[in-house]
Amino acid sequence: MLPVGTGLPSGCTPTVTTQLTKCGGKLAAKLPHMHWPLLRGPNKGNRGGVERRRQEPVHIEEKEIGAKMWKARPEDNRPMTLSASQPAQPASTPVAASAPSIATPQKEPTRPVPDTRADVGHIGKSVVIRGELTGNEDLYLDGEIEGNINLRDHKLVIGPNGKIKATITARDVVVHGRVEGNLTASDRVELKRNCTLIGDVSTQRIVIEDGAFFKGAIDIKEHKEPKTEMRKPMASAAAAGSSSSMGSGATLSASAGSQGSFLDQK
Amino acid sequence: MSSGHNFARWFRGPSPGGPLERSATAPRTTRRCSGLSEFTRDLAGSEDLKPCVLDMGPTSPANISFLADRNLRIYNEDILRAAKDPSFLVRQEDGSLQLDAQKFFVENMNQPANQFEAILCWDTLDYLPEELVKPVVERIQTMLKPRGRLLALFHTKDAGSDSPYCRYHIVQPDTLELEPDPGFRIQRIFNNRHVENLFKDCASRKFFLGRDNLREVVVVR
Repeated sequence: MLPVGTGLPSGCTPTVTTQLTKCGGKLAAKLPHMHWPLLRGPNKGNRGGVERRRQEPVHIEEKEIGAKMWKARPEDNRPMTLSASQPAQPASTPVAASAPSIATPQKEPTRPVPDTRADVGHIGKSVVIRGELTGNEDLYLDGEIEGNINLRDHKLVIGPNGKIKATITARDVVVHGRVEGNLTASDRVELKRNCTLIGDVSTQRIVIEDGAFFKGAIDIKEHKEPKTEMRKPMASAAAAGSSSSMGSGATLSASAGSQGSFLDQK
Repeated sequence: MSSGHNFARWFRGPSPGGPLERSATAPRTTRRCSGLSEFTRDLAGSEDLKPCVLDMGPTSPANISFLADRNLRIYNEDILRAAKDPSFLVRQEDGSLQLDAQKFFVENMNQPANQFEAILCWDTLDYLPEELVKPVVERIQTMLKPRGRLLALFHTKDAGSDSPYCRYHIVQPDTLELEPDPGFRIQRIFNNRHVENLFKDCASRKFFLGRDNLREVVVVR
């Protein structure tokens, strides 16, 4: 056993039990997380000093001590930290060996938030908007809108309390409430039970539940697949460019041209 | 236990208030419709790339799906339901309420002339208020293209005055599914002469009489 107050030799890990046996066997059981440096100083080895410490609120001490304790024994902590706080991301965020991961025990492990919920804007039923509504995220609309709604590549859900008098443009539109106005969806329209739609619909796919009221025209657009059609000539042009070892400027300009038009369309 | 219970139900019949009982309140029946068969056949031979069809019945997903599959442009306008709108009613001098046809046509059936290749009228004319029958038929004839088709159904005298109003769903080119809708009562019964008079300006009228006392008429403008 090492004498109290002397420095530890390198590689030697101080443990509470080894030091507390000097002060009394009972303490070893009551303060299992006691740290080595806390016993040093004027009261080192003094039973009274340790007794005073025992009268203090133990839970606070234990927190601090525990933190230091974990820091002193990182080899025990590391696997626990990784398995507890980052179960789904094994190697994306490297944990430093000296970083005390338990020093911030209050921090809750970051749970993955579902994107569907996070990216949906919400307009409540007491909201009234007159004018143009444009956005780059999905939208749930339960209020009253008069004007234009433009969510070009996103989904619009009109709630059961929604009253819309507007021209709507979106990728997907789901109607639970009442809509008066033309509706253009690049992908899909859903008319739910008890909804009312007065206006023309232009879409690729439409789903109408029994009990929906619809007055207007439906124009089903043909499904287009421009991306695959665009990629094929691009790939062939690129292949031609590489095989001709950049010899022909025509090939390069053609590929550049197709690239530009592809990006423009996107 | 449960299988035995289900087996016993074959003999007992469904228990009152159960799910089968609730669905039995509005049973759907299917019927062959020769008029529809001819109507769709004519429509398939249309020269237009995307013929326009007006469905004057209630919104039916089956009808929209059927017509959309045939590359048709679909219009839907439930004029019977629109006619129930109290805002079209005007109080007369004697205190009675009457439907104002002019007011009605401002908001309904206001498509341009010669818009449609075909119109599915179903049995709407049997249930329409009296003030609207003639104007609606005139509008139909205006909206139909020359040589355009109209399919209408009329109840016969034998069907009785309690014939329930039905929503018609197209199941196949020659089969309809009838879904009773208790919201409307039959207003009159047209005989053959009445029907001929209604569409006297049209090029031809073809009658098909069904066993269920429903007369199918295909009118060509």
